[in-house]
Amino acid sequence: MNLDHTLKTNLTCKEVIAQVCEYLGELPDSPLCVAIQEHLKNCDNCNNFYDQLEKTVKLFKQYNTDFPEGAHKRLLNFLGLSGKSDNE
Amino acid sequence: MIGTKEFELIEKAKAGDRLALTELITKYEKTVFSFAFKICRNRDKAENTMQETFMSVLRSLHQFDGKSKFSTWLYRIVVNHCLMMARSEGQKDRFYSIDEEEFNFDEPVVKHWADLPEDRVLSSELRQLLDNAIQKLPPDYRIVFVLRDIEGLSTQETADTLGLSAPAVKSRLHRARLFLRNELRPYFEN
Repeated sequence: MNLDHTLKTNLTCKEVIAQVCEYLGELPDSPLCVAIQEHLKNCDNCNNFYDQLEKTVKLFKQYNTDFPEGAHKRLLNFLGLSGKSDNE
Repeated sequence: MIGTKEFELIEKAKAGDRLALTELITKYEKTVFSFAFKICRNRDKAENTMQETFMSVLRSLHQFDGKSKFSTWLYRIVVNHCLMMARSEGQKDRFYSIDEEEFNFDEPVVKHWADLPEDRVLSSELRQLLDNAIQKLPPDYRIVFVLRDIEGLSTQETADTLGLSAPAVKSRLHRARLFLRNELRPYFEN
């Protein structure tokens, strides 16, 4: 299931089922997928679980760190590129 | 696979044009640092990885054939450095083995987690929790999770970067998500 996609858009139930079925290698109208669709309509546990996975991914996406001060200069020094360029 | 402007920049850099090389580095240094940090969870190690990555770029830029995105090629180099660093530090024993772990769904009730703060500022407690959780993940799983879910690469791009099949990427991603979700549960449910 593509959680990243879900974070950006509001998927319809149909799209979610299509993703689940693709993941399982099942056709959308297969008995298994139809049963899953029926189950998800009324299952708070499944919906909460999916929401938890979404929140887990979202938290890690939110966790960023700044580029360290002076890191660009240190990088060019490390690579021996801090002197005059050939074009100068 | 890459734009004309970037292709020209890379060709100039290959030919030894230091300005082009510096421009290329400036364009990608933050991406490389950010990705390395998300794998290493340590700013010093991430900066070290960034430096080693670009040193590798200098040495092997002539091998870049433009068939993949330049960023994908860079990700591959960062991954190699991160894995080498993990091996050299003998980190293997610190990771949980989740290859064979069964994530049995035996919770009678799955609770609703509180909504996340909108201001995108995470508390130090939560950042520590996220660091601890992801550092328990074996690097092979962590890298898939970061590339796919955090950096936003497609399944196929992730597979190409890591030399894995698409089903292997899906499987590792699924297990990584379940593992991390389980690690965060006490914070949200206690």
